[in-house]
Amino acid sequence: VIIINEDIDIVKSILMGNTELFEVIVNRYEIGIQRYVYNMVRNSETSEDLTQEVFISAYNKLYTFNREYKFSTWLFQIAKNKTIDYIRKNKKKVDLEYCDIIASSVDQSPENFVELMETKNNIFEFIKCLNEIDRQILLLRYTKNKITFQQIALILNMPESSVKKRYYRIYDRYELFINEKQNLKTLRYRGE
Amino acid sequence: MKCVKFVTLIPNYFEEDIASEVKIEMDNHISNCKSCREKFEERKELLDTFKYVLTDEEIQIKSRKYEIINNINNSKYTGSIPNKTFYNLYTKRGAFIGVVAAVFLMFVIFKYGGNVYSAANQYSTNKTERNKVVENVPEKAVPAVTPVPSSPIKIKFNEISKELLNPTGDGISATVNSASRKKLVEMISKMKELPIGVGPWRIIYCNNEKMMFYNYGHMIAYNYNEKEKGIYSILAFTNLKVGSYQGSQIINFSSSPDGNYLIIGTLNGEQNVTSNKSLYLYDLNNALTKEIATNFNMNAKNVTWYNNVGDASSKWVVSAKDDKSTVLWDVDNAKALEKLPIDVKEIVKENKFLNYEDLSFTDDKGNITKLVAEAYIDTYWFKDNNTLIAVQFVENMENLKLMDFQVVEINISDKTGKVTFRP
Repeated sequence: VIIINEDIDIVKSILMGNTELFEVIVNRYEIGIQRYVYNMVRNSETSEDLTQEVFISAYNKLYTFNREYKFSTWLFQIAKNKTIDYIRKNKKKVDLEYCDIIASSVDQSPENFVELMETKNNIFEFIKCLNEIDRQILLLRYTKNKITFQQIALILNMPESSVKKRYYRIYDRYELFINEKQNLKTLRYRGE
Repeated sequence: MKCVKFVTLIPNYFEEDIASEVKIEMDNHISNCKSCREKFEERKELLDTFKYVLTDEEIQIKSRKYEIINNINNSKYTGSIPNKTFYNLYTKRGAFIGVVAAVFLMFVIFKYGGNVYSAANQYSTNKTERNKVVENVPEKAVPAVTPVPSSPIKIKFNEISKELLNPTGDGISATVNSASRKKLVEMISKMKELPIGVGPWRIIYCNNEKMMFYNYGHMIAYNYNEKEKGIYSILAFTNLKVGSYQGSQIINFSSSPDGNYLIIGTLNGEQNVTSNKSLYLYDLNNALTKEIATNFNMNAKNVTWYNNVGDASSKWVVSAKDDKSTVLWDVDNAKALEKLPIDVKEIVKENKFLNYEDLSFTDDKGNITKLVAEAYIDTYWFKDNNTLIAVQFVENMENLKLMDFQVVEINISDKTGKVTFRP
């Protein structure tokens, strides 16, 4: 029995004909990809569909995978392209709704829950306002499959230093965003 | 480690984007410094929230693993999915093509005898066609148009004499006289010694040959006209009552449309607070600063430049207004005016407005240009519809000195409304 750990070995083996090993790949990345897609489209069903497409596409094109890169980089690149394509085609349908989250899974007091919902809404609203590249950087950074700055740079085809610079700036922008929101609220409250 | 340094490194700490020695230093600092600890905790909380919302929180997504596997298994031999044979064919395509070619050639030679030349031609078409089938290009990461920067003007100040094209090679514009030139060279060499830490370079104003930009320490005026290329003025803010590193007071500028004069003041965010900052008029060509008002809260929006009707020479009258007073200044005669002369009219600078949120521009006709720019600060100037001027940081953040920047001229051809460019 050969124990295979590295993605690259699995890929090689699949390409040699052991296609059933693709299941290992799916096991490893399905949740990560789903979450990443979900954070962009904010709809469970769509993210399930798209994730499925990502894996089928990856399987179909496995022989084109350049082995100098990390496999996960390639996979997230496919996920990114598929999702952006989808969003482009269904611009009107993808209206980012916030109602998709299970309330019951949060075992908290109502006050805390409301506060959490607000933070969540803030974050998603903020993400919606980001330009495409910043959005990708942020969402890729927050995937379960530990994506490094270097990988993000490869996926987005830009220098790593720019990725970092942009990534750090996103949080400054978030704080600005929150401050401005707070200001607006105060103004409205005063009836101005 | 000093607090200032600690605070700037907090973001890097959490992304494990620092050397291990620095991390140890930071860990030591944190246990001794309460205010830094608080800032550290704040950042941690922010990151935890993002992590929770984007990664940890459970959402209602079903795994479709079995569906995926089934789908793949069902179509495994239908031809669209590569199976073992196809893969082998692909990896051994050289041999495969060779065999096909050999067979083909033998066939051709056998059938047509001497007419090998045209047969070889035919073979080469065959080869390209076969490659087309096998070599599917992987999906490209960035689909947008990638415009090519046209003749970037690059200045790197540690190599200044090598790179600048002006006759003296000291980085100073040819329009500057020898006395001022000496002074400017001195200033540059002083600035070269300063470390970074005074904020990014931001554009104040740019017209089709001159550009002014500043950080919190200095203002630099640069002429990018081919013949006059170089710096023509530098102003250090140290001796002026402007700006502030803290609070909401920020330094504010308004340039005359010809780029010869600059109004410098301080925008005090909170109204009704007496500002102890002054308003200055700076003559860029003669490096002369004149304090024209005290206790002034300047907003560039409330500065207007007037010029003689039908007279192209720069006889400027400038007015600046805050909530308490209005300053009216005759630039040419260096004196305050009671009221606006009747023979002048307002000169409006041509402008494109930058929307910081999504980096799009709106011009005065309401046209919107979307732009995604990397490694550029948020200020640009459209020289014309196809050319963009930007100040760029130097990419390498190590050993970065205050003076390291690039003025870049970029040609953008915008077809999709969204342009990605990189130098």
